Amino acid sequence: MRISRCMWGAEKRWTMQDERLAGIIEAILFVVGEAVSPADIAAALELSDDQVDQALDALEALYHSRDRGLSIKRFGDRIQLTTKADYAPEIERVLQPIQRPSLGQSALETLSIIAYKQPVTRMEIEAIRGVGSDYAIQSLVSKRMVREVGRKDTLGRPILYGTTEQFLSHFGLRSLKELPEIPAVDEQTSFLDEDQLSDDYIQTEQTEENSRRD
Amino acid sequence: MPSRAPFCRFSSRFFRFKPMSTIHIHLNQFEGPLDLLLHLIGRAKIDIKDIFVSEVTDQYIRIVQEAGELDMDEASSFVTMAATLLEIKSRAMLPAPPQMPEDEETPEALLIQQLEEYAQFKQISLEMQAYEEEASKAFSKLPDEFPLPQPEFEISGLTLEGLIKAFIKVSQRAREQYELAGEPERQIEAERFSVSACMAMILKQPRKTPLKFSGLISRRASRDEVVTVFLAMLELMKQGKAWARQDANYEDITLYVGRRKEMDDAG
Repeated sequence: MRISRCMWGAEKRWTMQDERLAGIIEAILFVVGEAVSPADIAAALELSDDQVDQALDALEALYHSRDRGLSIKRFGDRIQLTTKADYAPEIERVLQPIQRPSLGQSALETLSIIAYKQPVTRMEIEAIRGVGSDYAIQSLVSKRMVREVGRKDTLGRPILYGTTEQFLSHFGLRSLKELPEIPAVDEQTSFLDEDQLSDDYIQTEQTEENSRRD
Repeated sequence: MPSRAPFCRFSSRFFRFKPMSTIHIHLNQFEGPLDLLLHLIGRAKIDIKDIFVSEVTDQYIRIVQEAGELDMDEASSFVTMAATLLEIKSRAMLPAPPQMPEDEETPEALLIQQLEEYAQFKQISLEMQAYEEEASKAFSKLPDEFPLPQPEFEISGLTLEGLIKAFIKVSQRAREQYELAGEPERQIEAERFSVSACMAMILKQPRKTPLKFSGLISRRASRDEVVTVFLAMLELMKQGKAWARQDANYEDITLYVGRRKEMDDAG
């Protein structure tokens, strides 16, 4: 399969050599499985970072075509070969059950605060959540979503927390710049009506009110 | 029970207690008091800002009251919030002092601000959950393991003399480097001070005047001495045999031997 030449236009002709490099990198990513840094590949192959980047772009363009099952995931300065998210249902039908570990509510809240406010101390997190967050932080640390990034220069020199590359990977973010925007204060009540947490409470309240009306 | 009745009547009017209802709300399904308040605000379909002109704070207090058995760790943050709400309510019932400042630092404003910020992050964490869900659909494989073959060494042409020569060369180079670096011989002194000896020394001091920490150590005291005498002082304080005062950070410490009470009487 040939990469469309128009991508490169006049500035750069897609040569046989480049195509071979894209194939080599594909092979490396397949064997490695986990995330690697393109710079490491470039250094090991004695190529420039640009050469590897161009080959990666080409490979990515190839994967974007609809009939390919793979995709290149980028986060931080790492890349990883993954399957396309679109094919998850079919993959799961064949390979059931695939476990998809997800974070609990308190971990997610704590992680969001750390992601936006980093570097941040436990006290600052707890001030926002209004509840002790030690356990949530420790579990995020042990899941390597969060790590200690230093100490705050204040009384007691508390630990400062920040997010990791594992965090970016887990949420499919290329960098922290891709975090969702903080909702405006006026808009945020929209989710309050959904109440996914405690439907049973609402129901008991309503039946109670109904019975009183009766 | 009769003796308690007036209080009960007051508080039931105060909280607008409903008769024991069938509501079972599990506080542990909420991520803390702010989460519960947001839930109540959402259910009342009001703006966060209107929390103090709504029933929400009453509902909150009632729910915490009725929650019953909760372990203290879980419940404390909910109870703290209930206390804050009660304080705000009781303040609102009192006539406002004439020079009540109108700035943003009232407990009401602080709580509203906190609720708004928490609501933002709750919203974000929902969005993050969608990101997480989407990202979890991309599967990757575990790294392949390729055991590396044993490294082979070329050892032909090696003689015993050659080996000895090489060893001498290496040890010579090591010695030269050592001398170049000018590594001085290290001396490790025996400990000359012990906490128990220093404690005895402090107790033996004449007790007419309060002791100064600076007076307990020699003029050119080593770090070891300063630390040990300090530890001895702390140990005496722990054992209740002395107490100390320091007027400000880094000031000299005044040490009083004996129990604190008698010294207070004396002073």
